[in-house]
Amino acid sequence: MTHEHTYETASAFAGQRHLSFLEPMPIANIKEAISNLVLELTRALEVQGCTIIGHIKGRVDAGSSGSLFFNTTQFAVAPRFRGELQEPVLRAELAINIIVYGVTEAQIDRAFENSLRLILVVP
Amino acid sequence: MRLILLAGFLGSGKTTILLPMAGALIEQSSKVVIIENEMGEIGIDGSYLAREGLQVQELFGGCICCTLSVGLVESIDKIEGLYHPEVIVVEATGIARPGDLKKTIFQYNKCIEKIDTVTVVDAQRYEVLRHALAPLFEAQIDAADIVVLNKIDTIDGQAVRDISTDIGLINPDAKLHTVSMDESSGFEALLRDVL
Repeated sequence: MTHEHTYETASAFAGQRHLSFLEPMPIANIKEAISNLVLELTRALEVQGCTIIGHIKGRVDAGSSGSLFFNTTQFAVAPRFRGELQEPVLRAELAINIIVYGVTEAQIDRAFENSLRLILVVP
Repeated sequence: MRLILLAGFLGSGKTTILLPMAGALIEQSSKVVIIENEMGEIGIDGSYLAREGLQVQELFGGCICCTLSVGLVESIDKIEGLYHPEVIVVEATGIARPGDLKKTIFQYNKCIEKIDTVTVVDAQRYEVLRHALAPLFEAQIDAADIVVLNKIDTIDGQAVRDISTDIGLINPDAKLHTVSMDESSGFEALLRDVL
């Protein structure tokens, strides 16, 4: 099928990272870190010219300790969480999907990497 | 077989509505399979719905109204052959045009007898999206049998009336439901129409 798709002006990015903690991480701290990550990411995207957040949604999968899902559609607003994690969490997989308007995929990639470094201290 | 097509822009609340809707269908003893389409290369909502106990077929990394339309047609046939469900619920990506999807499904999936299109609209971002993405926004509302104006708790009563009027101008034939999934208001009435 061919048609003119307005999402041609949207950029999509998907990323995955392994997270490991030196000691069991309280769930509240994980939520706070994810909130800060998303806030920093939306700030960086807005500075670069992002006009609309289609969505930023993600998952922290801690295997048998459960999964935490988060999403936002707004700048400078902490994400909403659903799902559940149970302590102790020593390692987890972070997955994120980002669809936004006004910036390129490369800009999203950079903003995501920089935000990760700032918030989660990724080596 | 019946197909419920859940459409609406990114972040409007489709997955939030889908979960209790699918639960209600299952309570009615309907055999339900979900097809979850996501633009991103990683499926997020599909894994969430599967963890909630739903039968989910994921299609991600593209949009089923264009790049993954073949995948959608094949998935419906495969689901029909494997599970013989009474209802398939397709959650489209937020950038899909449900009118195109309906045409494709009716053309290639002869097992589908009826498609009900439910378009979810974000009341909180209505004005912004209405103007910035007008062609897509209008196409999603125009193709709906039911329009769900969600997140009405985030705007005042006059704004709800103004948006409802505007939606009525885009699609006068659609049934409109105003709901707040956060405050559990309006959903029961929507459910009665969908079921």
